[in-house]
Amino acid sequence: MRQEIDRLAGKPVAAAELAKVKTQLLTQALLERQTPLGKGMALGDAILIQGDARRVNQELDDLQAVTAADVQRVVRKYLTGAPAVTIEYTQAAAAQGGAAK
Amino acid sequence: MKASVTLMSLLAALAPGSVVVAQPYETPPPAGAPRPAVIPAPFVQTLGNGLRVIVVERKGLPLVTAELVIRSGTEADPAALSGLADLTATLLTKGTARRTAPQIADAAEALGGQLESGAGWHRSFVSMTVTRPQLAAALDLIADVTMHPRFAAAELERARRLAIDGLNVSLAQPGTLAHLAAVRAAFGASPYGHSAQGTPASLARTRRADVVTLHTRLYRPDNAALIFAGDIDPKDAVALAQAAFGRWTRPATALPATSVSAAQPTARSPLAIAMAGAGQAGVAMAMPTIARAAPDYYAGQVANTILGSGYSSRLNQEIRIRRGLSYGVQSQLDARRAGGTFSVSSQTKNASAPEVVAVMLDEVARMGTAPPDADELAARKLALIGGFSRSLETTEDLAGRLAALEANGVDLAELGRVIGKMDAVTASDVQAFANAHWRAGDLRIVVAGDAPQFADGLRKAYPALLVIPQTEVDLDAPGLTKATAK
Repeated sequence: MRQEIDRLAGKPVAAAELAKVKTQLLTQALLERQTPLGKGMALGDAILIQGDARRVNQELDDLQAVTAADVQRVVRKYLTGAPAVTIEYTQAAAAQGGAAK
Repeated sequence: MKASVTLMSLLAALAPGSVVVAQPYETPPPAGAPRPAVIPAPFVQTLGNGLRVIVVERKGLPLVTAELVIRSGTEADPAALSGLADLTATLLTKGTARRTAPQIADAAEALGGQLESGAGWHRSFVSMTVTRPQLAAALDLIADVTMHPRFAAAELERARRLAIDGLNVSLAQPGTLAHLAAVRAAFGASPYGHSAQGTPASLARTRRADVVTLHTRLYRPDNAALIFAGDIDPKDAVALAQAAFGRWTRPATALPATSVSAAQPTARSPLAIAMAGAGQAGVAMAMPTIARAAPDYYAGQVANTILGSGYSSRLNQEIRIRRGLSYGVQSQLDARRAGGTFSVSSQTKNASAPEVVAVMLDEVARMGTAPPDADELAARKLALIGGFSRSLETTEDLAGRLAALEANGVDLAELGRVIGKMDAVTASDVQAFANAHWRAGDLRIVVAGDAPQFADGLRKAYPALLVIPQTEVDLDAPGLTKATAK
Protein backbone atom coordinates (compact mmCIF):
# COMPACT_ATOMS: atom_id res chain seq x y z
CA MET A 1 0.00 0.00 0.00
CA ARG A 2 2.80 2.41 0.90
CA GLN A 3 4.55 1.54 -2.34
CA GLU A 4 1.51 2.47 -4.43
CA ILE A 5 1.13 5.76 -2.57
CA ASP A 6 4.84 6.52 -3.04
CA ARG A 7 4.50 5.71 -6.74
CA LEU A 8 1.68 8.25 -7.07
CA ALA A 9 3.80 10.82 -5.24
CA GLY A 10 6.89 10.10 -7.33
CA LYS A 11 5.48 10.15 -10.86
CA PRO A 12 2.47 11.95 -12.37
CA VAL A 13 -0.42 9.62 -13.09
CA ALA A 14 -0.71 8.54 -16.75
CA ALA A 15 -3.15 10.50 -18.92
CA ALA A 16 -5.33 7.46 -19.70
CA GLU A 17 -5.63 6.55 -16.04
CA LEU A 18 -6.50 10.11 -15.08
CA ALA A 19 -9.15 10.25 -17.81
CA LYS A 20 -10.61 6.93 -16.66
CA VAL A 21 -10.96 8.07 -13.08
CA LYS A 22 -12.45 11.42 -14.10
CA THR A 23 -15.01 9.60 -16.26
CA GLN A 24 -15.90 7.34 -13.34
CA LEU A 25 -16.31 10.22 -10.90
CA LEU A 26 -18.33 12.27 -13.36
CA THR A 27 -20.59 9.33 -14.25
CA GLN A 28 -21.12 8.54 -10.58
CA ALA A 29 -22.04 12.14 -9.78
CA LEU A 30 -24.50 12.28 -12.68
CA LEU A 31 -26.07 8.95 -11.70
CA GLU A 32 -26.69 10.29 -8.21
CA ARG A 33 -28.25 13.48 -9.54
CA GLN A 34 -30.95 11.62 -11.47
CA THR A 35 -33.25 11.38 -8.46
CA PRO A 36 -34.78 14.18 -6.36
CA LEU A 37 -33.04 12.65 -3.34
CA GLY A 38 -29.69 12.73 -5.13
CA LYS A 39 -30.21 16.33 -6.24
CA GLY A 40 -31.08 17.26 -2.65
CA MET A 41 -27.97 15.54 -1.33
CA ALA A 42 -25.76 17.31 -3.89
CA LEU A 43 -27.30 20.68 -2.97
CA GLY A 44 -26.99 19.98 0.74
CA ASP A 45 -23.35 19.07 0.28
CA ALA A 46 -22.72 22.27 -1.65
CA ILE A 47 -24.41 24.44 1.00
CA LEU A 48 -23.18 22.73 4.17
CA ILE A 49 -19.73 21.49 3.23
CA GLN A 50 -18.69 23.91 0.51
CA GLY A 51 -20.60 26.91 1.81
CA ASP A 52 -22.30 27.92 -1.43
CA ALA A 53 -25.27 26.36 -3.19
CA ARG A 54 -23.86 27.47 -6.55
CA ARG A 55 -20.93 25.10 -6.07
CA VAL A 56 -23.28 22.30 -7.15
CA ASN A 57 -23.06 23.54 -10.72
CA GLN A 58 -19.33 24.29 -10.64
CA GLU A 59 -17.83 21.25 -8.93
CA LEU A 60 -18.14 18.89 -11.90
CA ASP A 61 -16.29 21.37 -14.14
CA ASP A 62 -13.63 21.72 -11.45
CA LEU A 63 -13.29 17.95 -11.36
CA GLN A 64 -12.71 17.85 -15.12
CA ALA A 65 -10.00 20.52 -14.79
CA VAL A 66 -7.83 18.47 -12.40
CA THR A 67 -4.38 17.72 -13.88
CA ALA A 68 -1.86 14.97 -13.20
CA ALA A 69 0.32 17.59 -11.50
CA ASP A 70 -2.58 18.50 -9.18
CA VAL A 71 -2.93 14.83 -8.18
CA GLN A 72 0.78 14.52 -7.48
CA ARG A 73 0.82 17.75 -5.44
CA VAL A 74 -2.11 16.60 -3.27
CA VAL A 75 -0.65 13.14 -2.74
CA ARG A 76 2.62 14.73 -1.62
CA LYS A 77 0.89 17.17 0.70
CA TYR A 78 -1.70 14.93 2.36
CA LEU A 79 -0.50 11.34 1.94
CA THR A 80 3.28 11.19 1.95
CA GLY A 81 3.90 14.53 3.66
CA ALA A 82 1.60 14.07 6.64
CA PRO A 83 1.78 11.96 9.79
CA ALA A 84 0.09 8.61 9.33
CA VAL A 85 -1.05 5.75 11.54
CA THR A 86 -0.99 2.15 10.35
CA ILE A 87 -3.15 -0.41 12.08
CA GLU A 88 -2.70 -4.13 11.54
CA TYR A 89 -5.70 -6.10 12.64
CA THR A 90 -4.89 -9.79 13.11
CA GLN A 91 -6.31 -12.70 15.06
CA ALA A 92 -4.56 -13.08 18.42
CA ALA A 93 -3.54 -16.73 18.02
CA ALA A 94 -2.19 -16.28 14.51
CA ALA A 95 -0.33 -13.11 15.49
CA GLN A 96 1.38 -14.88 18.40
CA GLY A 97 2.37 -17.75 16.13
CA GLY A 98 3.83 -15.22 13.69
CA ALA A 99 1.75 -16.76 10.91
CA ALA A 100 -0.39 -13.74 10.08
CA LYS A 101 0.18 -11.34 7.15
CA MET B 1 -21.52 12.59 21.35
CA LYS B 2 -18.20 14.35 21.20
CA ALA B 3 -17.62 13.68 17.51
CA SER B 4 -20.82 15.38 16.44
CA VAL B 5 -20.14 18.40 18.64
CA THR B 6 -16.78 18.81 16.94
CA LEU B 7 -18.36 18.48 13.52
CA MET B 8 -21.00 21.06 14.37
CA SER B 9 -18.39 23.60 15.49
CA LEU B 10 -16.40 22.98 12.36
CA LEU B 11 -19.45 23.72 10.22
CA ALA B 12 -20.17 26.83 12.25
CA ALA B 13 -16.59 28.00 11.73
CA LEU B 14 -16.87 27.55 7.99
CA ALA B 15 -20.20 29.28 7.74
CA PRO B 16 -19.54 33.05 8.08
CA GLY B 17 -19.26 35.04 4.92
CA SER B 18 -19.59 32.47 2.22
CA VAL B 19 -22.96 30.85 2.89
CA VAL B 20 -26.09 31.73 0.96
CA VAL B 21 -28.54 31.37 3.84
CA ALA B 22 -31.83 29.93 2.74
CA GLN B 23 -35.02 31.26 4.31
CA PRO B 24 -35.52 28.98 7.33
CA TYR B 25 -38.94 27.38 7.63
CA GLU B 26 -40.65 27.00 11.00
CA THR B 27 -42.89 24.39 9.42
CA PRO B 28 -42.40 22.52 6.18
CA PRO B 29 -43.64 24.41 3.12
CA PRO B 30 -47.02 23.19 1.86
CA ALA B 31 -46.85 20.36 -0.64
CA GLY B 32 -47.43 21.37 -4.23
CA ALA B 33 -50.02 19.76 -6.46
CA PRO B 34 -49.15 16.18 -7.43
CA ARG B 35 -47.09 16.06 -10.61
CA PRO B 36 -47.80 12.85 -12.46
CA ALA B 37 -44.81 11.13 -14.04
CA VAL B 38 -45.09 11.70 -17.78
CA ILE B 39 -43.55 8.98 -19.89
CA PRO B 40 -43.32 9.58 -23.63
CA ALA B 41 -44.42 6.75 -25.91
CA PRO B 42 -41.37 4.62 -26.73
CA PHE B 43 -39.98 4.77 -30.26
CA VAL B 44 -39.59 1.33 -31.84
CA GLN B 45 -37.83 0.34 -35.06
CA THR B 46 -36.82 -3.15 -36.18
CA LEU B 47 -33.43 -3.63 -37.88
CA GLY B 48 -33.03 -5.87 -40.92
CA ASN B 49 -31.86 -8.79 -38.75
CA GLY B 50 -34.97 -8.63 -36.56
CA LEU B 51 -33.47 -6.72 -33.61
CA ARG B 52 -36.03 -4.33 -32.13
CA VAL B 53 -34.54 -0.96 -31.22
CA ILE B 54 -36.51 0.77 -28.46
CA VAL B 55 -35.86 4.35 -27.43
CA VAL B 56 -37.21 6.57 -24.67
CA GLU B 57 -35.50 9.93 -24.79
CA ARG B 58 -34.97 11.72 -21.47
CA LYS B 59 -32.98 14.91 -21.52
CA GLY B 60 -31.48 16.83 -18.61
CA LEU B 61 -28.39 14.82 -17.78
CA PRO B 62 -25.99 13.44 -20.42
CA LEU B 63 -26.59 9.83 -19.38
CA VAL B 64 -27.82 6.87 -21.39
CA THR B 65 -28.65 3.32 -20.34
CA ALA B 66 -28.28 0.73 -23.08
CA GLU B 67 -29.86 -2.63 -22.32
CA LEU B 68 -29.83 -5.62 -24.64
CA VAL B 69 -32.73 -7.92 -23.81
CA ILE B 70 -33.20 -11.49 -24.98
CA ARG B 71 -36.89 -12.42 -24.74
CA SER B 72 -36.05 -15.77 -23.11
CA GLY B 73 -34.75 -16.48 -19.66
CA THR B 74 -35.39 -18.63 -16.64
CA GLU B 75 -38.52 -20.25 -18.13
CA ALA B 76 -36.24 -21.79 -20.79
CA ASP B 77 -34.15 -23.73 -18.23
CA PRO B 78 -34.29 -27.47 -19.00
CA ALA B 79 -36.06 -29.36 -16.18
CA ALA B 80 -32.84 -30.96 -14.96
CA LEU B 81 -30.77 -27.79 -15.31
CA SER B 82 -32.49 -25.10 -13.28
CA GLY B 83 -30.44 -21.92 -13.19
CA LEU B 84 -28.96 -22.46 -16.69
CA ALA B 85 -30.27 -19.20 -18.19
CA ASP B 86 -28.94 -17.16 -15.27
CA LEU B 87 -25.56 -18.91 -15.36
CA THR B 88 -25.35 -18.36 -19.13
CA ALA B 89 -26.11 -14.64 -18.81
CA THR B 90 -23.64 -14.29 -15.94
CA LEU B 91 -20.90 -15.87 -18.06
CA LEU B 92 -21.39 -13.49 -21.00
CA THR B 93 -19.21 -10.82 -19.40
CA LYS B 94 -16.51 -13.31 -18.38
CA GLY B 95 -14.66 -13.43 -21.69
CA THR B 96 -15.25 -13.13 -25.44
CA ALA B 97 -13.40 -14.21 -28.55
CA ARG B 98 -11.26 -11.06 -28.33
CA ARG B 99 -11.36 -10.03 -24.66
CA THR B 100 -10.60 -11.85 -21.42
CA ALA B 101 -12.75 -11.31 -18.33
CA PRO B 102 -10.28 -8.80 -16.82
CA GLN B 103 -10.08 -6.95 -20.15
CA ILE B 104 -13.87 -6.64 -20.22
CA ALA B 105 -13.88 -5.34 -16.65
CA ASP B 106 -11.12 -2.84 -17.51
CA ALA B 107 -12.94 -1.66 -20.62
CA ALA B 108 -16.19 -1.13 -18.72
CA GLU B 109 -14.37 0.71 -15.95
CA ALA B 110 -12.66 3.02 -18.43
CA LEU B 111 -16.10 3.98 -19.76
CA GLY B 112 -17.18 4.94 -16.26
CA GLY B 113 -19.93 2.33 -16.00
CA GLN B 114 -20.61 -1.20 -14.94
CA LEU B 115 -21.38 -3.91 -17.43
CA GLU B 116 -24.12 -6.03 -15.90
CA SER B 117 -25.77 -9.20 -17.09
CA GLY B 118 -28.26 -11.66 -15.72
CA ALA B 119 -31.49 -13.49 -16.39
CA GLY B 120 -35.01 -13.55 -15.00
CA TRP B 121 -38.36 -14.91 -16.16
CA HIS B 122 -38.68 -14.41 -19.94
CA ARG B 123 -35.59 -12.28 -20.23
CA SER B 124 -31.81 -12.31 -20.23
CA PHE B 125 -30.02 -8.99 -20.36
CA VAL B 126 -26.75 -7.14 -20.72
CA SER B 127 -26.80 -3.51 -19.69
CA MET B 128 -24.64 -0.50 -19.04
CA THR B 129 -25.20 3.14 -18.09
CA VAL B 130 -22.66 5.67 -19.34
CA THR B 131 -22.30 9.32 -20.21
CA ARG B 132 -23.36 10.10 -23.77
CA PRO B 133 -19.81 10.41 -25.22
CA GLN B 134 -19.02 6.84 -24.08
CA LEU B 135 -22.17 5.27 -25.55
CA ALA B 136 -20.72 3.93 -28.81
CA ALA B 137 -17.90 2.19 -26.95
CA ALA B 138 -20.34 0.78 -24.39
CA LEU B 139 -22.50 -0.66 -27.20
CA ASP B 140 -19.43 -2.24 -28.76
CA LEU B 141 -18.78 -3.97 -25.44
CA ILE B 142 -22.42 -5.07 -25.03
CA ALA B 143 -22.46 -6.41 -28.59
CA ASP B 144 -19.20 -8.30 -28.11
CA VAL B 145 -20.32 -10.11 -24.93
CA THR B 146 -23.77 -10.85 -26.37
CA MET B 147 -22.60 -12.21 -29.71
CA HIS B 148 -19.19 -13.73 -29.03
CA PRO B 149 -18.95 -15.03 -25.44
CA ARG B 150 -16.13 -17.48 -24.93
CA PHE B 151 -17.69 -19.49 -22.07
CA ALA B 152 -14.20 -20.55 -20.96
CA ALA B 153 -14.15 -23.68 -18.81
CA ALA B 154 -12.27 -21.95 -15.99
CA GLU B 155 -14.82 -19.12 -15.89
CA LEU B 156 -17.69 -21.60 -15.84
CA GLU B 157 -16.10 -23.35 -12.86
CA ARG B 158 -15.60 -20.07 -11.04
CA ALA B 159 -19.17 -18.89 -11.68
CA ARG B 160 -20.54 -22.30 -10.70
CA ARG B 161 -18.63 -22.31 -7.40
CA LEU B 162 -19.76 -18.78 -6.59
CA ALA B 163 -23.39 -19.57 -7.38
CA ILE B 164 -23.35 -22.82 -5.38
CA ASP B 165 -21.80 -21.04 -2.38
CA GLY B 166 -24.50 -18.37 -2.60
CA LEU B 167 -27.26 -20.98 -2.82
CA ASN B 168 -25.88 -22.92 0.13
CA VAL B 169 -26.13 -19.73 2.18
CA SER B 170 -29.59 -18.69 0.94
CA LEU B 171 -31.15 -22.17 1.12
CA ALA B 172 -30.05 -22.40 4.75
CA GLN B 173 -32.48 -19.54 5.45
CA PRO B 174 -35.89 -20.95 6.43
CA GLY B 175 -37.67 -18.09 4.62
CA THR B 176 -35.93 -18.65 1.29
CA LEU B 177 -36.32 -22.42 1.41
CA ALA B 178 -40.00 -22.21 2.38
CA HIS B 179 -40.73 -19.76 -0.45
CA LEU B 180 -38.99 -21.83 -3.14
CA ALA B 181 -40.67 -25.02 -1.87
CA ALA B 182 -44.11 -23.35 -1.84
CA VAL B 183 -43.64 -22.19 -5.44
CA ARG B 184 -42.61 -25.70 -6.48
CA ALA B 185 -45.63 -27.14 -4.67
CA ALA B 186 -47.91 -24.67 -6.48
CA PHE B 187 -46.54 -25.44 -9.95
CA GLY B 188 -45.18 -28.99 -9.84
CA ALA B 189 -43.44 -29.79 -13.13
CA SER B 190 -44.39 -26.48 -14.81
CA PRO B 191 -41.32 -24.33 -15.58
CA TYR B 192 -42.61 -21.62 -13.23
CA GLY B 193 -42.05 -24.07 -10.37
CA HIS B 194 -38.29 -24.05 -10.43
CA SER B 195 -35.64 -21.93 -8.74
CA ALA B 196 -34.42 -19.15 -11.05
CA GLN B 197 -30.93 -19.38 -9.57
CA GLY B 198 -30.95 -23.18 -9.78
CA THR B 199 -29.92 -25.53 -7.01
CA PRO B 200 -26.48 -26.74 -5.93
CA ALA B 201 -27.28 -30.07 -7.61
CA SER B 202 -28.51 -28.61 -10.90
CA LEU B 203 -25.51 -26.28 -11.16
CA ALA B 204 -23.16 -29.18 -10.45
CA ARG B 205 -24.77 -31.07 -13.36
CA THR B 206 -24.42 -28.18 -15.82
CA ARG B 207 -21.81 -28.61 -18.54
CA ARG B 208 -20.27 -26.09 -20.88
CA ALA B 209 -22.16 -27.66 -23.81
CA ASP B 210 -25.46 -26.85 -22.04
CA VAL B 211 -24.47 -23.20 -21.77
CA VAL B 212 -23.36 -23.05 -25.42
CA THR B 213 -26.57 -24.75 -26.58
CA LEU B 214 -28.80 -22.30 -24.71
CA HIS B 215 -26.83 -19.37 -26.08
CA THR B 216 -26.97 -20.66 -29.66
CA ARG B 217 -30.72 -21.39 -29.47
CA LEU B 218 -31.93 -18.20 -27.85
CA TYR B 219 -29.39 -15.39 -28.26
CA ARG B 220 -30.37 -14.27 -31.74
CA PRO B 221 -31.39 -10.87 -33.09
CA ASP B 222 -34.97 -11.87 -33.85
CA ASN B 223 -35.37 -12.80 -30.16
CA ALA B 224 -33.83 -9.59 -28.88
CA ALA B 225 -34.41 -5.91 -28.27
CA LEU B 226 -31.93 -3.12 -27.68
CA ILE B 227 -33.34 -0.53 -25.30
CA PHE B 228 -32.01 3.02 -25.03
CA ALA B 229 -33.17 5.25 -22.18
CA GLY B 230 -31.76 8.70 -21.61
CA ASP B 231 -30.11 11.51 -23.50
CA ILE B 232 -30.32 10.16 -27.04
CA ASP B 233 -32.73 10.69 -29.91
CA PRO B 234 -34.20 7.81 -31.93
CA LYS B 235 -32.20 8.60 -35.08
CA ASP B 236 -28.84 8.42 -33.30
CA ALA B 237 -29.94 5.34 -31.36
CA VAL B 238 -30.84 3.44 -34.53
CA ALA B 239 -27.54 4.40 -36.16
CA LEU B 240 -25.57 3.24 -33.11
CA ALA B 241 -27.60 0.02 -32.89
CA GLN B 242 -26.95 -0.68 -36.57
CA ALA B 243 -23.22 -0.07 -36.14
CA ALA B 244 -22.91 -2.33 -33.09
CA PHE B 245 -25.44 -5.08 -33.91
CA GLY B 246 -26.03 -4.83 -37.69
CA ARG B 247 -23.71 -7.76 -38.36
CA TRP B 248 -25.51 -10.03 -35.89
CA THR B 249 -27.05 -12.58 -38.25
CA ARG B 250 -30.50 -14.06 -37.90
CA PRO B 251 -30.29 -17.87 -38.06
CA ALA B 252 -32.14 -19.61 -40.92
CA THR B 253 -33.95 -21.82 -38.44
CA ALA B 254 -37.24 -20.70 -36.93
CA LEU B 255 -37.15 -19.23 -33.46
CA PRO B 256 -37.90 -21.96 -30.88
CA ALA B 257 -41.47 -21.54 -29.67
CA THR B 258 -41.88 -20.48 -26.06
CA SER B 259 -44.53 -22.22 -24.11
CA VAL B 260 -44.87 -22.54 -20.38
CA SER B 261 -46.84 -25.63 -19.46
CA ALA B 262 -49.72 -25.19 -17.05
CA ALA B 263 -49.26 -25.48 -13.31
CA GLN B 264 -49.61 -28.95 -11.82
CA PRO B 265 -49.99 -28.21 -8.12
CA THR B 266 -49.01 -30.95 -5.72
CA ALA B 267 -51.68 -32.33 -3.41
CA ARG B 268 -49.21 -32.30 -0.53
CA SER B 269 -50.01 -29.16 1.42
CA PRO B 270 -49.17 -27.99 3.93
CA LEU B 271 -45.66 -29.26 4.08
CA ALA B 272 -43.29 -28.87 7.01
CA ILE B 273 -39.55 -28.88 6.30
CA ALA B 274 -37.58 -29.90 9.37
CA MET B 275 -34.44 -27.77 9.78
CA ALA B 276 -33.01 -28.94 13.09
CA GLY B 277 -32.07 -26.04 15.35
CA ALA B 278 -33.38 -23.30 13.04
CA GLY B 279 -33.80 -20.11 15.07
CA GLN B 280 -36.91 -19.06 13.16
CA ALA B 281 -39.54 -20.58 10.93
CA GLY B 282 -40.08 -19.45 7.35
CA VAL B 283 -43.77 -19.46 6.44
CA ALA B 284 -44.62 -19.29 2.75
CA MET B 285 -47.60 -19.92 0.53
CA ALA B 286 -47.94 -19.70 -3.24
CA MET B 287 -50.34 -20.29 -6.10
CA PRO B 288 -50.45 -19.65 -9.85
CA THR B 289 -51.89 -16.32 -10.90
CA ILE B 290 -52.74 -14.07 -13.84
CA ALA B 291 -50.44 -13.05 -16.71
CA ARG B 292 -49.11 -9.51 -17.08
CA ALA B 293 -51.42 -8.86 -20.04
CA ALA B 294 -54.56 -9.89 -18.12
CA PRO B 295 -57.23 -7.16 -18.07
CA ASP B 296 -57.49 -7.31 -14.27
CA TYR B 297 -53.70 -7.00 -13.74
CA TYR B 298 -54.04 -3.54 -12.20
CA ALA B 299 -56.89 -4.56 -9.91
CA GLY B 300 -54.59 -7.40 -8.84
CA GLN B 301 -51.71 -5.03 -8.07
CA VAL B 302 -53.93 -2.76 -6.00
CA ALA B 303 -55.40 -5.80 -4.20
CA ASN B 304 -51.89 -7.11 -3.51
CA THR B 305 -50.80 -3.75 -2.12
CA ILE B 306 -53.81 -3.69 0.23
CA LEU B 307 -53.11 -7.25 1.32
CA GLY B 308 -49.38 -7.43 1.74
CA SER B 309 -47.18 -4.71 0.28
CA GLY B 310 -45.85 -2.03 2.62
CA TYR B 311 -46.00 -1.29 6.33
CA SER B 312 -49.73 -0.48 6.42
CA SER B 313 -50.85 -3.54 4.48
CA ARG B 314 -53.46 -5.76 6.12
CA LEU B 315 -51.01 -8.62 6.63
CA ASN B 316 -48.42 -6.39 8.26
CA GLN B 317 -51.03 -4.70 10.45
CA GLU B 318 -52.27 -8.01 11.75
CA ILE B 319 -49.04 -10.02 11.96
CA ARG B 320 -46.54 -7.35 12.95
CA ILE B 321 -48.42 -4.42 14.46
CA ARG B 322 -51.30 -6.12 16.32
CA ARG B 323 -49.82 -9.51 17.17
CA GLY B 324 -46.07 -8.88 17.19
CA LEU B 325 -45.36 -12.17 15.43
CA SER B 326 -42.83 -10.93 12.90
CA TYR B 327 -40.91 -7.89 11.72
CA GLY B 328 -42.15 -8.34 8.23
CA VAL B 329 -44.66 -10.13 6.08
CA GLN B 330 -45.33 -9.55 2.42
CA SER B 331 -47.37 -10.74 -0.51
CA GLN B 332 -46.24 -10.58 -4.10
CA LEU B 333 -48.14 -10.72 -7.37
CA ASP B 334 -45.52 -11.58 -9.98
CA ALA B 335 -47.40 -11.54 -13.29
CA ARG B 336 -45.44 -12.77 -16.32
CA ARG B 337 -45.98 -13.61 -19.97
CA ALA B 338 -47.78 -16.92 -19.40
CA GLY B 339 -49.30 -16.53 -15.96
CA GLY B 340 -47.39 -15.87 -12.79
CA THR B 341 -46.96 -16.46 -9.10
CA PHE B 342 -48.91 -15.08 -6.17
CA SER B 343 -47.09 -15.66 -2.90
CA VAL B 344 -47.17 -14.66 0.76
CA SER B 345 -44.17 -15.03 3.03
CA SER B 346 -42.82 -14.20 6.46
CA GLN B 347 -40.41 -15.35 9.14
CA THR B 348 -41.55 -15.84 12.73
CA LYS B 349 -40.44 -17.64 15.86
CA ASN B 350 -40.91 -21.37 15.43
CA ALA B 351 -43.75 -21.71 17.90
CA SER B 352 -45.76 -18.93 16.19
CA ALA B 353 -45.74 -20.53 12.74
CA PRO B 354 -49.21 -22.15 13.03
CA GLU B 355 -50.74 -18.81 14.05
CA VAL B 356 -49.01 -16.99 11.16
CA VAL B 357 -50.33 -19.59 8.69
CA ALA B 358 -53.88 -19.09 10.00
CA VAL B 359 -53.68 -15.28 9.91
CA MET B 360 -52.28 -15.28 6.37
CA LEU B 361 -55.11 -17.49 5.10
CA ASP B 362 -57.71 -15.40 6.95
CA GLU B 363 -56.42 -12.18 5.45
CA VAL B 364 -56.31 -13.61 1.92
CA ALA B 365 -59.90 -14.83 2.34
CA ARG B 366 -61.00 -11.50 3.88
CA MET B 367 -59.95 -9.69 0.68
CA GLY B 368 -62.96 -11.35 -0.96
CA THR B 369 -65.43 -10.50 1.79
CA ALA B 370 -64.22 -7.14 3.12
CA PRO B 371 -63.50 -4.65 0.33
CA PRO B 372 -61.32 -1.66 1.28
CA ASP B 373 -63.08 1.48 2.47
CA ALA B 374 -62.31 4.77 0.71
CA ASP B 375 -59.41 5.69 3.02
CA GLU B 376 -57.70 2.32 2.82
CA LEU B 377 -58.07 2.20 -0.96
CA ALA B 378 -56.74 5.74 -1.41
CA ALA B 379 -53.74 5.20 0.88
CA ARG B 380 -52.72 1.89 -0.67
CA LYS B 381 -53.12 3.25 -4.21
CA LEU B 382 -50.88 6.18 -3.30
CA ALA B 383 -48.27 3.75 -1.96
CA LEU B 384 -48.46 1.67 -5.15
CA ILE B 385 -48.40 4.63 -7.54
CA GLY B 386 -45.66 6.40 -5.56
CA GLY B 387 -43.53 3.26 -5.62
CA PHE B 388 -44.07 2.87 -9.35
CA SER B 389 -43.16 6.52 -10.02
CA ARG B 390 -39.99 6.19 -7.95
CA SER B 391 -39.11 3.10 -9.98
CA LEU B 392 -38.77 5.29 -13.08
CA GLU B 393 -36.38 7.90 -11.70
CA THR B 394 -33.14 6.78 -13.28
CA THR B 395 -32.43 5.86 -16.89
CA GLU B 396 -31.52 2.39 -15.64
CA ASP B 397 -34.93 2.07 -13.93
CA LEU B 398 -36.68 3.24 -17.08
CA ALA B 399 -34.81 0.75 -19.27
CA GLY B 400 -35.60 -2.00 -16.78
CA ARG B 401 -39.33 -1.20 -16.87
CA LEU B 402 -39.28 -1.30 -20.68
CA ALA B 403 -37.38 -4.58 -20.60
CA ALA B 404 -40.04 -6.10 -18.34
CA LEU B 405 -42.83 -5.08 -20.73
CA GLU B 406 -40.86 -6.39 -23.71
CA ALA B 407 -40.19 -9.69 -21.90
CA ASN B 408 -43.85 -10.12 -21.06
CA GLY B 409 -45.08 -9.29 -24.55
CA VAL B 410 -46.92 -6.10 -23.52
CA ASP B 411 -47.29 -3.01 -25.74
CA LEU B 412 -44.50 -0.66 -24.63
CA ALA B 413 -46.79 2.38 -24.64
CA GLU B 414 -48.46 0.73 -21.64
CA LEU B 415 -45.73 2.31 -19.53
CA GLY B 416 -47.45 5.68 -19.93
CA ARG B 417 -50.84 4.22 -18.99
CA VAL B 418 -49.83 2.38 -15.81
CA ILE B 419 -50.52 5.19 -13.34
CA GLY B 420 -53.92 6.03 -14.82
CA LYS B 421 -54.96 2.39 -14.75
CA MET B 422 -53.79 1.90 -11.17
CA ASP B 423 -55.66 5.03 -10.15
CA ALA B 424 -58.86 3.88 -11.84
CA VAL B 425 -59.14 0.65 -9.80
CA THR B 426 -62.21 0.67 -7.51
CA ALA B 427 -62.99 -1.17 -4.28
CA SER B 428 -65.32 -3.49 -6.13
CA ASP B 429 -62.59 -4.24 -8.71
CA VAL B 430 -60.36 -5.27 -5.82
CA GLN B 431 -63.04 -7.49 -4.30
CA ALA B 432 -63.86 -9.03 -7.67
CA PHE B 433 -60.20 -9.79 -8.26
CA ALA B 434 -59.84 -11.46 -4.87
CA ASN B 435 -62.96 -13.55 -5.39
CA ALA B 436 -61.91 -14.60 -8.87
CA HIS B 437 -58.26 -15.41 -8.15
CA TRP B 438 -57.52 -15.82 -4.46
CA ARG B 439 -59.23 -18.96 -3.31
CA ALA B 440 -57.29 -19.58 -0.12
CA GLY B 441 -57.62 -23.34 -0.62
CA ASP B 442 -55.48 -23.10 -3.77
CA LEU B 443 -52.50 -21.78 -1.83
CA ARG B 444 -49.75 -24.33 -1.27
CA ILE B 445 -48.31 -23.87 2.20
CA VAL B 446 -44.78 -24.61 3.42
CA VAL B 447 -43.32 -24.01 6.86
CA ALA B 448 -39.56 -24.53 7.23
CA GLY B 449 -37.88 -24.45 10.61
CA ASP B 450 -37.41 -26.34 13.86
CA ALA B 451 -40.33 -28.71 13.23
CA PRO B 452 -40.85 -30.09 16.76
CA GLN B 453 -41.82 -26.56 17.83
CA PHE B 454 -44.62 -26.13 15.29
CA ALA B 455 -45.59 -29.53 13.82
CA ASP B 456 -48.12 -30.36 16.56
CA GLY B 457 -49.71 -26.94 16.29
CA LEU B 458 -50.08 -27.28 12.52
CA ARG B 459 -51.52 -30.79 12.87
CA LYS B 460 -54.46 -29.39 14.84
CA ALA B 461 -55.62 -27.62 11.66
CA TYR B 462 -54.05 -30.08 9.20
CA PRO B 463 -54.04 -33.66 10.54
CA ALA B 464 -52.41 -34.94 7.34
CA LEU B 465 -49.39 -32.60 7.69
CA LEU B 466 -46.30 -34.00 6.04
CA VAL B 467 -42.94 -33.38 7.74
CA ILE B 468 -39.88 -33.76 5.51
CA PRO B 469 -36.28 -33.46 6.75
CA GLN B 470 -34.37 -30.69 4.98
CA THR B 471 -31.93 -33.26 3.59
CA GLU B 472 -34.80 -35.00 1.73
CA VAL B 473 -36.03 -31.83 0.02
CA ASP B 474 -35.25 -31.62 -3.69
CA LEU B 475 -36.35 -28.32 -5.23
CA ASP B 476 -35.66 -29.77 -8.70
CA ALA B 477 -38.25 -32.52 -8.20
CA PRO B 478 -41.86 -31.69 -9.14
CA GLY B 479 -42.99 -33.46 -5.97
CA LEU B 480 -40.29 -31.77 -3.86
CA THR B 481 -38.75 -34.93 -2.40
CA LYS B 482 -35.82 -36.96 -3.63
CA ALA B 483 -37.91 -40.14 -3.72
CA THR B 484 -40.19 -38.71 -6.39
CA ALA B 485 -37.41 -37.22 -8.50
CA LYS B 486 -37.03 -38.78 -11.92
